[in-house]
This record gives sequence, C-alpha cells and structure tokens, in this order.
Amino acid sequence: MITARLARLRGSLLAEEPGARGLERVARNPGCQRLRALTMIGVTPATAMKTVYKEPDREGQSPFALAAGNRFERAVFENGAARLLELYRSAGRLTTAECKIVVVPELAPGATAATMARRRAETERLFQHKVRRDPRAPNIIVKARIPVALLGVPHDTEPDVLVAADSDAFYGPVEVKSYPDRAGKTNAADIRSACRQAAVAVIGLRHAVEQLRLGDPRQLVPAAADLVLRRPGSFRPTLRPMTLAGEVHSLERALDEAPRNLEELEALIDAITPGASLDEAEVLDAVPPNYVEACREHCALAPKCKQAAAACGDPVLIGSQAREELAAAGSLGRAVDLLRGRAQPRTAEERALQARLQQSLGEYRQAVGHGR
Amino acid sequence: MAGELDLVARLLAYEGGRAVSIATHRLMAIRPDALVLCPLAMAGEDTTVHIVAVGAIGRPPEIYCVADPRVRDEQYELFAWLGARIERHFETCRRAGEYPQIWVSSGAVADHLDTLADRQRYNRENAAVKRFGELLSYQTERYPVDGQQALITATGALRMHWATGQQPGEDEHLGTLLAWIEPPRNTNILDAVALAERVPMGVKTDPEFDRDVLEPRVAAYNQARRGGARAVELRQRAGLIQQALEPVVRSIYDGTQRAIRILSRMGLPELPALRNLEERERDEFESFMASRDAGYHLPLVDKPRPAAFKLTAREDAADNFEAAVLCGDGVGRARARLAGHTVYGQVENPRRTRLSPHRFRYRFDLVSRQRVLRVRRRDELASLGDPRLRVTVANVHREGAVTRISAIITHGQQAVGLPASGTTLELAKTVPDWDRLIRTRKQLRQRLVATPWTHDEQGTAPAVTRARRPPRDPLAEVEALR
Repeated sequence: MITARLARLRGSLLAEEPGARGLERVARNPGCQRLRALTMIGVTPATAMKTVYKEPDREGQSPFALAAGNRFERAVFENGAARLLELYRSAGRLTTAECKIVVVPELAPGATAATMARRRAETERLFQHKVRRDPRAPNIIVKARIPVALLGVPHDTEPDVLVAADSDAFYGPVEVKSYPDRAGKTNAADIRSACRQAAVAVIGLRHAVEQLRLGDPRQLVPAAADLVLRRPGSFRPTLRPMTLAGEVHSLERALDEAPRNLEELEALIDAITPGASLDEAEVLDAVPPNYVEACREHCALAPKCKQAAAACGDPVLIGSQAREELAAAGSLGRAVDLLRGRAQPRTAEERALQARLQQSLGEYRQAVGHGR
Repeated sequence: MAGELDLVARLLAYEGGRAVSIATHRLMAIRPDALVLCPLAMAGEDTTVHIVAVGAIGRPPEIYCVADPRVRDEQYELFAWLGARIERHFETCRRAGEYPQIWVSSGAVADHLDTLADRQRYNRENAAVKRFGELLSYQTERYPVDGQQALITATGALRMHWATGQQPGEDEHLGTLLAWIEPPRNTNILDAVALAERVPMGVKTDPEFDRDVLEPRVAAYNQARRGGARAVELRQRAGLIQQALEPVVRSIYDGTQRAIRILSRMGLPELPALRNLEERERDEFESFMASRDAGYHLPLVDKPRPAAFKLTAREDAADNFEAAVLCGDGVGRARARLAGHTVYGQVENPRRTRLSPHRFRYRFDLVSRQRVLRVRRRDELASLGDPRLRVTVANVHREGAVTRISAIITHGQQAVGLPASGTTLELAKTVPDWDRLIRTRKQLRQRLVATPWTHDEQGTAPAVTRARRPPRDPLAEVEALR
C-alpha cells in the first residue's frame, strides 16, 4: 500500500535508497520541504536535477576519489577484516579471542528484494543472539541491514560496521570513511557529516531493539559511535570514538518537522495540483525549498534553489546572517530601498532596521571617504 | 552589532553588481620576491601533487607535472624539484635578513600544503623530500597565526579588502571573487559568477574533467607502464596528461597573480602596524631556520610546554592583529565603533583633583551617542589617537540615547595630559602591544618549570587538602597572579 502511494508521488522517477547519507542530508537542512519530500519518496537530489530539471548534476565524485575510497574499504575489510580487528585490539576494545565476524552481504548475496529481506532477517537473528548472550553472536557485523521508519516511510539503512565485545550488552555503530585523520586538523565538515550518518545508525539500532523487543533501546544503544578514518597518505585505519548525543537529538528533531509522514506529503502535493507527482518540474518548483549556505556542500539542487532565491531577492544570497538581520525587510530589494531612503518603513521593525542600516552606511562612507 | 558594517557593504555590492572596498589600508605585505605556488592534487589522494606551477610575482610560472602521483618515485621527483625552488627562495631571504612569503589561491591549498608538510617532513626514504616537508612547515605552521605574512591565500587577502554581494562561503572561490571585483562588461554579475564557479580554483580538478579527460589518460599511462612500454611511449602518454592539466593549473596561477595585481593597484597605504608584523615574521623565520640548522626535530604533536608557548603566541598575535586593524584602518575602526568595541565621544568636565601635595587625580567624562557600547566599570581603555593615554572606567551612566562614561587617567598624565573639554576622543580596550609576548613568555617559563599534573605523563593528582578560607579580596588575589 505504502509502496503504491510512494510510486504515485514519484511518477516516472525510479526509486532509490536514500540510506544514511540521504537522511543525514535532511538533518542538515530540516526546513527544506523540497529535500524532505524527495527523500521520503526515495529520490536523490542529483536524480531530480538530472531527470526532472534536465540539468547536469555537478555533485559527482571524481573516479580517483572513488577508487581511493574503495581501496581503503578493501584494505579495512580484506582478510576477514584483519585490520579492523587489529585496530580494535590495539585500542583495547576487543580481546584476541573476540574475533567473530559476519559479513551480511555474504550470507545473502545479490541485489533483489528477496535478498534484501533475507539480509534483514539475518541481521535480526544476529541481534537476537547478542541479546541472549549467545556465544555465537559475532563481535563484528559488516553491512547489517536495518529497517528504519523515518519520515513515516520505511527505509533500509546499512551501517558500515556494528561492533560489540562479548561483554557488551549490544552493538554500537562504526562509520568507515576514507577521510584523512589529522587529529585536531581533520576537516570539521567531514567529521560532522560522518557523525550524522552514524547518528542515523544509532536511531536505526534503537528502532530495531524496540521492534524486536530486545530491551530498553536507549540503554542498549547509547548515542555513541566509532569513526574509522585513514592516516594521511596511507590506507591504515585510525579509530575515533565519538559521542553523538547532539547529532541524534538534532536528527530526531529534524525528522519531526513537517511533512513528517506520507499523509502530510500527499496533502502538500495535492494542494499544488491534485493528483500531481514530483517528476514534474512545476510541481517540484512549488514545493518550498530552504536555500541556505550549507546547501552547496551536500545538495545537487543547490544551484536551482539559488536561482529561485535570486529571483525573489532572498537575503540569504548574501549570507545566512543577512537572512536574520534583514528579516524585517524580507527581501534584498526592499532592504536596499530602506538603506537608500527610497522606501518609507511600513512597520516599527522596518524603521529600526532602516535606522541601523543607515547608521552603518554613514560610518562606512565616512571611513572609506576620508580614510586615515 | 558585529558585522553590521559588513552586511551593509554586501548590500551595496549586491545593489551595484560589483564588490565594494572595505579597507582604507593594505592589511598585509606584498613582498616583491614572494613565490606564487599553485599545486593540483589528485582527488582522494591527500598527500599528492599531480602538477605544480610556481613562479615569482608578475613572472610566468615554471611547471612540473607527473603522470601519476601515486607512483612514489615520480612523486618524490616532483617534491625534490619543488623543494629545491623553495630552498633557493629561503636562502635568498635569509641572506637578505628577510622572510619568505608564499601566495596560494585559497584556503584549500593552504590546508593541502599543511597535510603535505606534516607528512613529508618525516620522510625516511628521501632526504630531499624530507627537507621539502621541513621547509614547507615554516609556512604551514605560521598560517593559523593571525597577522602572519608567510603564507597568504589570495581569497583571504582579497576578502580583507573587498566585500562581495554573495555568501561569505562563496568568497572562498577565487574565480567568483575576482568576478565580483572586476566584473566582465555587459554580463549580469550572477551569470558571470555562475560561469566562474565552474573553473577549478582550489587544489583539485573538476570531477567531470577527471572522469572524462584525466582518468582515461592516467589509466592508459599506467597500462603502458605496467606493460613495459618504451620510454618514448611513456613520455608521450605523460605529455598527454600534462597537456590536460596545464591549462587548469595555469588558470589558477593567473588568478592568483591577478589577485596580487588588484591588491597592489588599489594603492592603499600600508597598515601602520605592518612593519611590526613583518619584523615579527623575520624573527620567526630566523628562529625556525636556526632550529633546523641545529638539527632540532619538528614534532607532529607538541608536548604540553611548547604547546602552551605556541598557544600563547597565537592568542597574542590574534589580539595584536585585531587591535592593529582597529587602530590603523578606517573601516576596522568604524566596524569596532558600530559593534561597541570602541567608545567614541566628546570630553566633558575634565578636572584635576589634588590628592596630596604632589599627587593629583585626572578625570573626565566622555559623552557618547553610540547605540551599542561594550564598556563597564573597571575596564581599562587606551586612546586610539595616542595610546600613551590610558584610563580606567569609574562609572557608566546611560540616559536615553546618551551614555556618560566617567574615566580616571592611569597613564599619560604628563605625556598626553588631560584632554580639553569638547575634544573628541576614541578609546579602545586593546591597542597593539608588541612587547607583551616577551613578558608573557618569561612568565610562562617561570610557571611551567614543573609540568602541571594535568599534563604530566605520570598524571598523578595532588593530594586533597582542606580548602582554606575564602580570601577577603578575591580580585586582589587575581591581580597578584598577573
């Protein structure tokens, strides 16, 4: 039933799995209904850019970067994930005897719907072993498949790795990224993005614990994860335990914004054009975006949304701070008119804004005009 | 409100479709012997340089390209070649008692050089590459220090002098920044910016270019190399790779040179404090080279003591640079005035009170109409006109739009004297103090004779002692620590 409703909203677009990356993207810009709608129906912004707007997607990855990422993953997981095990042993997180590894895709190879269902079932079985303290419970699960009902629609997520010592009550997620680990100098945006993806895995694990009635989700799955990054210039992994309380909380909050379920999305689309689908450019255009500075980092639709922002003179064009500061004016055109004294303020807020802007303009002119 | 002046400048730039100037002085040195350095890395390979363009200001570049930087020997040859040029530059500067300055296009390049320096200065396989990493470390270690003159990013330099009508994050692309500063004629600025954005200006090539042009050529080269192809064929294949990469690196090199030209052509007077900043740079460079000559090792992670010294130096540099811009640059001062970081007003009621036969107290009121003021009792302020005049705030009284600040002169009673009634005065909390670092270092040396237990390798906490009675005058105890 849900599948049919989603297919109706997608129209001619093919369904894609948003995965942790897609859900993390929503958390980066919770106010963007356009991104949320696409994620809910299982379409990436890159696909929308190419298929709906017929414009090139400039968000692709270089083949060199892809190859480097793949080589790193291979290096981590080859020989029965020997390097990963070594990493956890040297950090004192696993003992020599704790070496049970299960690679879920190897239990159910293929890419059909039936295979995916089997992977989910295998993952559930492994979780039950762990909760029962079964000695067969693996210490490391690679690519477990966990269904998560987010945005009112079920999505499957595949955390890179789940890890637990024999004495641990349950598994914790591990995010494997080929970002160079430069300790305090590591790119903050990379770390933020990896942490948010790990937070999706935390939510997924809690959801699984709840669904399978394995115990108290928050107790069994604390808001924490490990990041496995790589040493600069090599394929040797590094381990960074991270706490994710903030990320989990912000993700939960972000996913709670409207439209938060399929009914709300259908109502939104029907209000634009009854019975419409999101494969039509006019319909997608009518779903309100929320263009912010960070959009360029993660969303292929950013150039399109920037054009829309330019068309209406959205103050965000000159920075996120401007959107707040110029809120009373509403648009750049109006703010410029107030600044130049070409428009009369309509409200007390506009009057205050005009006074502030004109005072700053006076100081600026005086400084630049006279110099020192 | 901080940034309000910059907001207005961005609004003006947006309205006019071109960047507007936000400095009355040039805030960094442009050394005539500086090197312009533009490396391009291979995507996903964080410690590589695929092609590099290097040259002096106003001169065409020398270019060195390797077919595949993942092949270690080829990569080391490039590093040794580049290292030789940097070494030569360093030697020339050292002989002249100067410091080496390197210009790059953007912050991404500076970060990449930092990764390279961190990695290569520990190279055990090739002495020339190790030396390259060590020398590069001078620039990359200085880069995070405010007011440094060793490693300048073109985007950073332009942003200090121009405000554009786009988002601050978009200013990190040199091409878009240049489009705002010198917009092409008869083209809408947003279209020009969108076009400029497509040209790589950082440290990596465009993913599409990698996929369609570069990757097939690199793959063909590697296939030929593995297949034992003759040297002529390998040279030809490597030539094709250089042919693809050279226009990209040249365009970044030209953009960086253009940025330097724009800054030079602005014809702004130098920030008065620039000579102090350059003096410090010379000292830092000489100290760095002396340390290399003595064979000292460059650590990847500092131990607690040197870390404390470096952190203090960075804090001092940040304070001094901020104060130098505030004192010396007209826009910097206007920015501080709007944000309430300086007090600007008219002197009223100046008076000299006799405290004893030979002791006097000098006080006056400063009446300000600033909307925002960040001043409170006991604040110590210095005059921006003549920093020898220092005061302590005795009282702050706000009535409507007028703030009356009662000040007691603490320094400069004789040298500057009591300001006359009606004089306009501007006071700030910080003025540059170029000797402060020496005093702070001396104090740190005394304090850190024994490493605090929090940073000691033993990590033993001191025994718990019974808390003594709270001091009668806590402020006096704090002052005693100074």
